Amino acid sequence: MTDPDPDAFDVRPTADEMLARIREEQPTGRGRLRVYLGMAPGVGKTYRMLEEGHRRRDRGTDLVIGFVETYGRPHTAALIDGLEIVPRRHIEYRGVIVEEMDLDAVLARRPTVALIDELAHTNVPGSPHPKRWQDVESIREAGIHVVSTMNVQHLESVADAVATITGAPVNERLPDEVLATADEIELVDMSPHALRQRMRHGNVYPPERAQIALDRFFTEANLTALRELSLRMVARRVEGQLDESAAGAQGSLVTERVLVLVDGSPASARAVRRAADLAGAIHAALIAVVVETPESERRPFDQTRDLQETLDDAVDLGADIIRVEAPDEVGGIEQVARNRRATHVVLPFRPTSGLQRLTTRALGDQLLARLPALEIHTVGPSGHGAGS
Amino acid sequence: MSPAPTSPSSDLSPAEMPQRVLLVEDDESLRTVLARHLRGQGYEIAEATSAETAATAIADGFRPGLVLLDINLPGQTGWDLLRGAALDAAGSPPVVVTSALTIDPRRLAEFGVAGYLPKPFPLETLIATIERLLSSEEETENA
Repeated sequence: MTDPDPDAFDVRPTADEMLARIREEQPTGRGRLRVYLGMAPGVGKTYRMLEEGHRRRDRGTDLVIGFVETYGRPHTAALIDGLEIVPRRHIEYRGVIVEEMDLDAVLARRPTVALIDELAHTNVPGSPHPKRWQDVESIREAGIHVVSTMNVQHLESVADAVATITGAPVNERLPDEVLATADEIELVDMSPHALRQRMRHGNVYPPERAQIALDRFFTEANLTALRELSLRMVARRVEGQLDESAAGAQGSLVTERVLVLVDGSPASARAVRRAADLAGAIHAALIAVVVETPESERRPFDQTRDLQETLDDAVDLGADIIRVEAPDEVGGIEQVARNRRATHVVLPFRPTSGLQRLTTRALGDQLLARLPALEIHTVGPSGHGAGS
Repeated sequence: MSPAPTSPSSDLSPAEMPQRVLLVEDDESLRTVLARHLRGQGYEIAEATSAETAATAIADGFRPGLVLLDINLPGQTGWDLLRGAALDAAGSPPVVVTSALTIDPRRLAEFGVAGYLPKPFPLETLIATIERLLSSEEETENA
């Protein structure tokens, strides 16, 4: 994808762009969301967002900064000049005063466009919503367009993969559904080499801290993997848009269906993510199944709560949820797999003792005996396996 | 500048050490908020829920460039950590004390506390304090 001089667009818009602009500037309806997606901190997402802010403002759009974090980067900070900023809200939490976006003030100001950095940000307790993307939803509900930024690692469906690649946990996560509602995603791309160069020059973190980051997280290998994830994310989305227009609203191109069993175990939480990856890769529908058996009624409280969380995750990842009652688990899965013509089944791995192994067959084996055309995948509880 | 080889956590070059912060705070959600913001600034953070776990982290080889210490902790207080041998073992990094109760400045001086933030304080002030103390450490080490 080549990026023509963006300013040329502003001078002579094509018909499509004019239409897009009319849609964009219309005062009624839900606000549009445009997201600058990057592979890592420091690629220039906020910078690009602010540049867009200036271009729009120069065209006469009523635009404000809802929240921008410059992390003291001078080039970025300089771009804030000339843009109206909605003052931040100060929230005191257990003796620490934290600055957050003032949602009510942005809504009251009612601009046409609001720039809101870091879509995956977690708000301090005491904020109207726990997550910034929920603030953004409210703002869009009010008909205000939002331009935002995020790093690929915060996306729910890839967070585990990123944690495995980089060895660092990903604490802030954004449901894939939220990004899917974006009207436009723009990839802010940079070669790993160039980003490392920027870091070395202290353009991302102060130089002394940059060195640790370069050695640990921002290695050439990590960045290459993260870049690939971002590129794939955007490419898949473009493909998805093509499929939609080819298939119409029916979605008739879907021929494969991935079914995943949710049972509240840690392995099933991972199984849901893997199933979503698989479904995305083969353009399949995703179905999450909970089988209620007489035995499962004795599920302990912890597991019931984890099960609900995993189902919430599954919904976020675009799954249909089906709860089925059956005398036993295999029967329940078989019933749904037949009705929904599943082609793949993803099962959480369950460790069995030596004795159990002699007396009972694994769930996957039993299922294959009944539906031999199925492809069965078994997923373990940890993402840190041998060489994975 | 050529990238240094990755060092195991217990064996860091002096230039690396100052960028690690040991965060001692018993309130889990506050600790999470602080750790998230500091990590966002590129600091490496170890979290401890009590004076005892802070001492254990140091005994396990964590060498912070700075300790952020809440004084009012369950079990042993922050004063106990300041009094004990753990911080000496860590090379006596500067300590920033936070407290909801007012502390006598003489007491802070007596314990050699490098920074004191009475609650409530803005997060920005905390970050600026850490930033200032760590960069002055850097200068001393390079001098």
